This record gives sequence, structure tokens and C-alpha cells, in this order.
Amino acid sequence: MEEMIKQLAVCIESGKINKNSGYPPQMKGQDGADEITKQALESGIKPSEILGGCMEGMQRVGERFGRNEVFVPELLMAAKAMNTVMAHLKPYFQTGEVKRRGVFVIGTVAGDLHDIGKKLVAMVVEGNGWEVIDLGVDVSPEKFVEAVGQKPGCAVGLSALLTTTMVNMEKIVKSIKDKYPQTKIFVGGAPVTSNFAKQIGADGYAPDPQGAVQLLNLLAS
Amino acid sequence: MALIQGDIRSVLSGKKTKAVPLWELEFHLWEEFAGRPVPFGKAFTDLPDSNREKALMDSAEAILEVSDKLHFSAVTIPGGYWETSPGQPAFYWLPDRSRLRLAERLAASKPPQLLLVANVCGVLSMPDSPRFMEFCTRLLEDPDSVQAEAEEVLARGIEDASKLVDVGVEAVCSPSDIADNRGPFFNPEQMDRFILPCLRRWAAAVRDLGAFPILHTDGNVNSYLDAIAESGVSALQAVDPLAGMDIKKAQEKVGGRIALAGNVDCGLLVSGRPETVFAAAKSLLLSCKSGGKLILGASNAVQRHVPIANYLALTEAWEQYGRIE
Repeated sequence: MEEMIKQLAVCIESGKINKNSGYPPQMKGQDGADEITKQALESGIKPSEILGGCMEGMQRVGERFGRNEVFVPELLMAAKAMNTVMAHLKPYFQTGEVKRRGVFVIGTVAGDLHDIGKKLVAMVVEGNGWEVIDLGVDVSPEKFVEAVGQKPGCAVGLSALLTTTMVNMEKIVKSIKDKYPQTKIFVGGAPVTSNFAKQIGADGYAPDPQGAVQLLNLLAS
Repeated sequence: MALIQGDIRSVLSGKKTKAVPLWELEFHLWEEFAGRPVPFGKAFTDLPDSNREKALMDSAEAILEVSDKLHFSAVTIPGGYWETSPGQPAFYWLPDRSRLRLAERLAASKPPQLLLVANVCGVLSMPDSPRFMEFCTRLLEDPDSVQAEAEEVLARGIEDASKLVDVGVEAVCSPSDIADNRGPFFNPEQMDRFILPCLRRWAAAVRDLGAFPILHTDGNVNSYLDAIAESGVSALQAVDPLAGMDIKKAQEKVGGRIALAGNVDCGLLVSGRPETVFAAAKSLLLSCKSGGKLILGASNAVQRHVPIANYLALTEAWEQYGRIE
């Protein structure tokens, strides 16, 4: 059973989604995250242990991403493999048998329609055991406040690609903090810096998806 | 001291010039500086067909007038249609035939020292948002299809460049983002298969057409500076300061093999104050002009949100510090 969890972690780390997927080439024809999760559940392994194995795989690939050993497409494939597992575990999340680390509300700020970076962060954060509420792009301060109201205790991620729209982050941070002062808000995106995050009253800045996971996991620990 | 415009052809061909040339990847403030309508994109396509020719002629006149006022050494004509994000057309584009017509008009009436540049993608770049997931999956699961796509981009890029060179364009810039703030988007194997060979072939083809090949990429490409310098391109545009690229160090690394164009933070131009823009441009000129391989400009498009005073601060810094002793 332990072997199965280890194998699952390898599938996640390598981005091996299922038996039919041709990536990675060295695992061609082998079972992927999809098949191994099914087998694990059938053999009675606890969903929480399955989730633990997946998170270990995501952590490993995240660390390799941080060291520039893997690149965005590989990270994305790992997140896709993880999402395959999540689909199997969904019923257990709903019954409360498996607990998420917390809730993360994310969106691209008002005026900005870019979503690549935001999507990638959402996928990786979800793969690390968080429930992710993706509000999409061009999200108004009111919509963020409403989402936080619906998920008390959630953390929030604001994304912006443009120098012209990152300025809208300040208004969103203020709107959320005015109503829910305890909410932790993290910012990211190409023009954003840690100094800018401090300047606008955000609680942190993440330069990449793994950075976002690290910030969130500090909250959960 | 009299102003000396930088000779961008010399810089692109590795010869000495007496002043740093000024060139923008995309300049969106024609209308603001000309003080009259200069329609591109939707503003142009909204015009009745019967008014378009006159609008193009008037735009050419305005572009040349503003280029003279701002001491531009080169002007980039509008690109073809593209979207900055799904459903959002870019600001600076023209339908293909109108684009060629504008280039033709500019070539016929421009002063000889002004270089005409066109942005034409000849090298595969990071995918845009709607294709992102699909492209990343294909990159790993079906690399042969990505190879085919890279070949297609290359062939179409050369064909379009040829049409533009025929009407007077003298430099072709491939806007091919291959990196983000962290570094290259593609892994080393993918760079060696899909990007670098195409870049070399594209640069050679553009040179064969008699034009200067320029690569534009956002992001941090420090690890590929040597390969880019050896690819046959005349210049690398952006040298993205937001991605942590240090142009002085980049100059040292490329060692005069290619020119570096940029790298005044385009965000600073939007949200900074004139004095901070002036200071940034001054600092860039003082630290990097001596090698004679610097082309001054913003790190990306000079957008319509840029206050005129901020852009004038950049040109003022050039007027004071752009001369090479």
C-alpha cells in the first residue's frame, strides 16, 4: 500500500495523468495518477493518505520548479495529474472524510483580462490540498468582498499582469480589509513586487505558484 | 550642444555612431503628440472604406512629424491584428493591406536617416491564454505537432516580412515572448528544438531579404543571451527590467555581438513621475552608451496611458546624455 502511494507521488511529480497519456515518455504505457488512485481507493487506502501522497509529489515538482529544473509546462502537467486525483477524491471532500487545508479565493483584478498566471497558481494551490474559488478575470472589489463573505476565514490571491491594472489591487485590498480585517491577502503578477505588496497593505507577495503555496501553507500550519 | 540623432543602422550593423539611437517597440502616443486623430485598430476599421486611404496618408504625415519632434531614429509601423487578452483587440494594429500601404507611404516620404521597423512574428512564442493549457499539453505529449507549428510560424513570418521589405521596411522584429519573470518558458530541450534553430533560420532569412532581424522577448533570458547573440539577430529588444534583467550585465555578456534595445521600465513610464523617468533614462544612458550598442527606448510598448510629460522626460534625458563621446 505504501508502494502505491509512493508510485502516485511519482506520477504527480512527473505529470503522468493516465495510462494513455504519452508524457513522460519514459513512463509510456504505465498506469498514471488516474488508474493508481482508483486502485488505491479500491484496495482500501484512506483518501487522506492518497491526498498526502499527491501533495508530496506536488511539493517535489514545486521545489524542482523553484530550482529551474522543470518549467511551466511540466508544472502544469503535474497540476493536471493532481486534478485527476482530486476528481476521485471529490466525494470524500464533500462528506468531510478528507479535509482541505483551507479556502483560497483568487482572481485577476478589475480592468485586467489576463488569466494564465492566475490559472496556474489556482491549479498548483489546489493540487496542494486547498479548495480554490476562482473568480475569473476583471474582478471588482465588490465581487472579492462578496466571495470572502461566503467563505469566512479564506485567504485571497490577487493577480495582475499590467502596470495599469496592478494599481487596482490597492482598492481591492482596502475593500476586503475594511470589512474582513483578518483576511490574508496575497498578490502576484509580472509587474508586482514585494515592496508594492507592502505599500498597498497586502500580507504577502508570491513570485510564482510555489511561492503562493508556501505563503498559504504557513497560514495552515 | 547641437543634437545628433543616433544612426540606428550603424548600431545594428556593428559600426560606431555619435549618439544613442531612440526607438520604441510600439509607440501609441502619435495622436497625443501630433494633436490630431491618428486612427489605428478599431478607430481605423470603424472608418468608412472611402476615408481610409486619406486617414493612412494623414497618419503617415503625423508619424513623421512626431518622429522628428521626438528625435526617433526608427519607427515601428502598426502590427497585424492581435489580441492583448481574449476578445480584446490590441490598440496598435491595421488590416494587412492598410499596413502595407502605410509602410509604403512612410518609406516614400520619410527622411533617409529614419529606419522603418515592422513587428512580424517569425519565431514561436509562449501561447496566449485561450491556447495555454492545450499548448502546454501538446508541447509535452505531442512535440512533433509543436515542431510543425514552429515551422509554420517561421514560414509565414518570412513571407510576411518579405512583403513588408518590398514596400520599404528595413528592420523586422519578431515579437516572440519566450520567457516570463522567472526565466525561459520552454525547457532546454524545447529551446534547442523549437526556438533556437528557428531563430537562426529566421534571422538568416531576414538578412537575405536585406533587412535587420530583431528579436523581442519579455521575461528573463539571461541564460540564453549567448545563444541569442550567436543567432544572427542584429538586436535584442526589451531586456526586461521587470524580470530582473540587468542591461549592463547583459551588455557584458553579449560583448558587442548584438545591440540591446530598451530597457526603460514601461511601467515606470505609465505610473512614475517625470523626474523618475528622467533619472532612469539618464542612468541607463550613462552606464550603457559607451559601447555604442545601446538603443534607447521603453522595455515594451509605450501605451496610451503614458503621460506625455513622462515620455518627454525620457527624450530630455536622451537630449542631455545620448551623445557618445
